Amino acid sequence: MTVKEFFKGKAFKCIAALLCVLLISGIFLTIMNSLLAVTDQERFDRAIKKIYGKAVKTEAVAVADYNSNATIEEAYKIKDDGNYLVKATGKGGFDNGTVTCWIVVKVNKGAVGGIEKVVIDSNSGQSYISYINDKFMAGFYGEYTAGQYFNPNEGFIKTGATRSATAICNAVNAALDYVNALFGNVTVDIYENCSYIENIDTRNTSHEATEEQVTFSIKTKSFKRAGEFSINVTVDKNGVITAYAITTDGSTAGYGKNIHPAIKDGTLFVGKNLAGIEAILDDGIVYPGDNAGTEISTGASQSNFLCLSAAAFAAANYEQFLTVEETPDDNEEGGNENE
Amino acid sequence: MNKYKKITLDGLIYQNPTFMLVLGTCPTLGLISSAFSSMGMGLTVLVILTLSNVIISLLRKLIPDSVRIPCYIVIIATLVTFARMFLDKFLPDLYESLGGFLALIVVNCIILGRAEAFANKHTVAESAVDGIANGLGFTVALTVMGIICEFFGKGSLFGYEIMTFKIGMLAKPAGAFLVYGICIAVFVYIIDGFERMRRVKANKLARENLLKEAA
Repeated sequence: MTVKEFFKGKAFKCIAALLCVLLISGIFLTIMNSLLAVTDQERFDRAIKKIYGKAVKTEAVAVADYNSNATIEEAYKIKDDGNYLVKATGKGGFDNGTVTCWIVVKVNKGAVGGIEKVVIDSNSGQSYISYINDKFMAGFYGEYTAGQYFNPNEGFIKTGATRSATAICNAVNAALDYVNALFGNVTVDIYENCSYIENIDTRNTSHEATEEQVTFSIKTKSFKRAGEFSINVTVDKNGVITAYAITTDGSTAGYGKNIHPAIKDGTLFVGKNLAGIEAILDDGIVYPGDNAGTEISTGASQSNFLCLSAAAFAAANYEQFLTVEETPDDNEEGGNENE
Repeated sequence: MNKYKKITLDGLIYQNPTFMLVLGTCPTLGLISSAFSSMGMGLTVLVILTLSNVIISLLRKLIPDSVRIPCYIVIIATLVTFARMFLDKFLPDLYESLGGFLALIVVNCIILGRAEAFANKHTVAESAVDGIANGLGFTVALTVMGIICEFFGKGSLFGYEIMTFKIGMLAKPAGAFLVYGICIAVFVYIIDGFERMRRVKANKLARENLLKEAA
């Protein structure tokens, strides 16, 4: 085929037609994009309008993270009323997804006064986000007491989207931490320097201690498809777990029954110290590990792993929380030294 | 019958893309839990379908047969992208409520189907009427089902709460599937009834004419 024949041929016509359509489409879309592009400022104004129903004057504030369960994306001081508008992305949603929210934190006499409004901005992979309604959001509104944290399992109406609700709660808690920090009230996390905290929601974990034992009320984070567990673990002064009880089963619906019976009733952990728990972790027989599936891989490996993490956390950190009673002897010794 | 009237009636009733041809079921099932979203989707499809029919009809003699489908897809994709930009700029609420289904209009069978079956064989005016009629047929069908699903599934209408009684399942795709099936059955039953009445009337007229001729 000669060059002349090619240019007169059907193939050339086809290529030319397709290229022309592509070129014209490309030029058209380029022009339209420059005319119709939505700027970041416009998106921000839309968010403001959604929250306040009108335009308000704002002043950007530097962001910082004080809560590992969420990320602060943007923050503004509302000039009209002195409140803070915080955009936070909460972790721990369904399938490890996130929910980004705009949160209006009320300021009252130079301190956090409560939550005024929460509006969802976007989400990643939250199929049931439409179940989150205004009634749920209203659970955040009202007066704030210092140190208050929101938990979707407590005091909120059930939405049918617990995991998405958890991510929203995490975003709101992070916004509270952030604005508290702006006023110099940094919330101290007493478990911050503990070991085995990757899967522990330290802000919602607490403990009661005596000289003889420490009882932890542990709230785990979600792990992949498994949701948060609430587990009570008691560790005696020798570091041995004496009681283990799951109070809230966070496993995805239908998977709870697959948790290994010895984990469910705690017998796998009772009587073991940190070395014993670490041995299970090192074996990788729960999750994750090369030989997962050999012994107690049950079809709820992620839930099993969270339960194991709680046991490891308790066994590894009990010592620093044991109450040490001041004995009269100590004072006498001190007195003698002074003499 | 006037050809434009026939095109219009075909698009709206006799070849209604949703109830008679069962095309574009993906956005239908995904969006009819909200009357606002379904009407928005219907109107967006109406505009894109009309524009694509007009453009394809204009270019029908210039585009070689062997590359017509890729060309149609590029044209439809361009229009859908334009619609997305337009909605994002001027109707952000609708843009958010349509979500991923907006981009999926590119592969909507109704649009490519009308381009291939009608626009590349007819004049620009006829193609425009066909686009409007089919688009309206799709919009009305989606809106009616959206109203039914939202009313019974959420107890509201276009977002305004009307009653507290609700059948939650109808606000979900499974319920939408049920409503879709019932609507098809009712629509076909009504059309069938009209057709039967028309046939009876025609037969009666023919019989009377025969009797007159015989007399």
